[in-house]
Order: sequence, then C-alpha cells, then structure tokens
Amino acid sequence: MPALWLLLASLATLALAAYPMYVIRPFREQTPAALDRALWVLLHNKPILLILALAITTLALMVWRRAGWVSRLFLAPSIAFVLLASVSAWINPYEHMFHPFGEPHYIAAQQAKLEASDMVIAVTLGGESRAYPIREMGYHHVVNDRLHGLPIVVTY
Amino acid sequence: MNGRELHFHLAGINNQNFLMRDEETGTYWQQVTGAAIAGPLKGQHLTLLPQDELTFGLWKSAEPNGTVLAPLPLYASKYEKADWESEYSKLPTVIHAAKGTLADRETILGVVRNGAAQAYPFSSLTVQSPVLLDKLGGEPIMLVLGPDGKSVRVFSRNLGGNTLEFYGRSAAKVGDPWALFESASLTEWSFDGCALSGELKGQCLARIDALKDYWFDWEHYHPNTAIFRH
Repeated sequence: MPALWLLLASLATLALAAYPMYVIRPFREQTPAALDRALWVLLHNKPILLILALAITTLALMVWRRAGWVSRLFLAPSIAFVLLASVSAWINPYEHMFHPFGEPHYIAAQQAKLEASDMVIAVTLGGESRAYPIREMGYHHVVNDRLHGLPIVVTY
Repeated sequence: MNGRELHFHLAGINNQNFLMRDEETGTYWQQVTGAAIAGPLKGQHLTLLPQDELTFGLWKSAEPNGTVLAPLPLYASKYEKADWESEYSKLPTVIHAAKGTLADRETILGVVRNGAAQAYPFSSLTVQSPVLLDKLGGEPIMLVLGPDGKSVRVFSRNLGGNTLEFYGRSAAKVGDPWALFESASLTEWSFDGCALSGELKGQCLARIDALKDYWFDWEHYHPNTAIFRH
C-alpha cells in the first residue's frame, strides 16, 4: 500500500528534522557522538529535507488521483508532515531563546546604576576599558562589540 | 577570525555550556573553549582576550573613564537577581564530576600552566587569608583575593628569573584596609600585581588567565585536572 509507505517516509523525515532539537535540549546530557550527529544534521538538513519534501509530496500527489478515501487519510498527513519538516529546517528555536543583544550602547562608568558589589566582566584594550555587568550577560549570554577598533564577542 | 569579522548568537546547549553560531559561516562554537566544533571553520579557536571578573566598585575606581554596557530596558525584568549565584549553585547538573571531593557546582578558578591544569575552589581564598602561593606546571604562581573580597587575580611569581614570595594583610572583613606584601623586601604591591615601593617599584608581575567555572564543567574540559589542597 503506497500511501502507508509514504506516511512512514514522511514520519521518518519529520524525525530527522526533529533529531537535532531532541539532542541539543537543555537539562539533558549530550554525548559527543550524538552532538556530532545533531550538528551534522543542522548543517546539512536544508537541501536534504527540501529534496525529501519534494519527492514525497510529488509521489503523494501522484498516488492521490487514483487513491480511495482510506489511502487519502494517509496521504494528506504525509504531505503535511514533510512540509512541516522542511520548514522547520529554517527555524532553530534555540537561536531565538534569550533576546540577542543587537547593537550595544554604553553608559559612562560614573553614571551607571550598578551596586558597587555587582560583578562585571571587564575588558581593557589600548587604554579603553569596558564593563559588562554579569547579571545582564547572564540573560543575553552573547554580546558582539568593538573595543579600541577590535571586534570582540563577550560571552557568559 | 583570519581577518574576517564574525558575529555570534546563541544556538544551543552542550552539557550546560552553550553553543554559539556565527552569522557569516554558520559554524558552531563551544562557548567555554572558544573552539569551532562543527561547520566550515571546525578546528579553529577564537583568541581569548585578557579579561577580569571583578566588582563594579573596584573596576570603576580603577577605570573612572570606562564605559558600561547599557541594559536593554525591555529585558531588564529577566536579568539575574542579585543572589543569582547561590540560586544557581542549587540547580542540578546533567553530567557529574568523576573524581575529587568537590560538589558538581562548587565554584572554582581553573588555571592551566605548561599543560598542567588545576582547580582552585573559591573557598580556599578568604579575606582573612587573601593570598595563595602555589606552583603549577613548574611555574610559581599566586592567587590574590582583591579588596572587594570577590575578585580573584592570578599572577606569575617569576620576575626576572627570581621567584618572589608574597603575603597579604589579613583583614577581619571586606572593606578593611587591603594590602599585598612581598616577603623578602617587605614592599607593598597593588592588586594589579605591581610594586608600589622599593627597588622593584613600577615592575609588574605577569597576569595569568583563569576561568571562573563550576567544578563539573572544568573537569569535563580538563579531565586531567588536579584540585588544589592546602
């Protein structure tokens, strides 16, 4: 029954798309081998998922014309799942967690409203010093900046 | 990286240390090591710049003309609370330290010299005993707790081929007068590691990079690390 095979292929495609999100999820151990596989999928999933989606959708539409209503109950979700899988390749939810900082702005040391006991990460280059408050960095985690003309990334 | 400016964003997590991705090449990077672990730049390392983790008060007195990263008002409510460190120390970990007597989330200062790695628990330094002398990878080093009672700096004690010995003025509490002395000359030195008087006046010890980290994470990336014991 081709409709059933197409549904299974479509579920397999969805599983492939979901695999990296499953491995790289918080509060769970990442083994080196699983992490390597997950990152490989993330780096290569767009063309693979697009080809699978096109192939499965085309086949499903070809079968659809001659199929009875039972087969169509398998074919419709097949198309939906592969389209969902291929769209998901463009969305990594972890890249949207914590608002990316964007263009940094600064406050003069004397005007900054921080407690004297608040910790900061300080970077000093060529006599220019900048402080990155840890409580702020603990949320955003990554700030792309320039100091004394040098592009730097501050991470916490 | 090789003359090309990269821009990074958070892209995932690996055993509670985050992954970053750069917009330009799509490479995945491990935050704690700065190593590219997958993608076109795999195998490359970001250059670690000298940096300091210290209190705002101490930084401001040293750098009165410095600038501070402005908070984003929209997200200020999500920033960590003042007591976040003690809250985070209670969180579970997904991997566990294999050896030693330290708790997974014990805060340590990790130092590497000539291939030898050692973890110094923050609890080994107190305002009563702010200076810790040690030898790591054959190099005489020193950890110093600053006048704010929170910032720790690591220095080489090798100056011009001589090994210097230091001691700190014991204080009863944070805020008491802070001072660092070199034992042979009895001269006073600053928290920048520079001699303030005597024959060596103006000379400075070399700063050593150190990573403030949780024990489980440090041990994960430095499996052969030792733990400092008095």
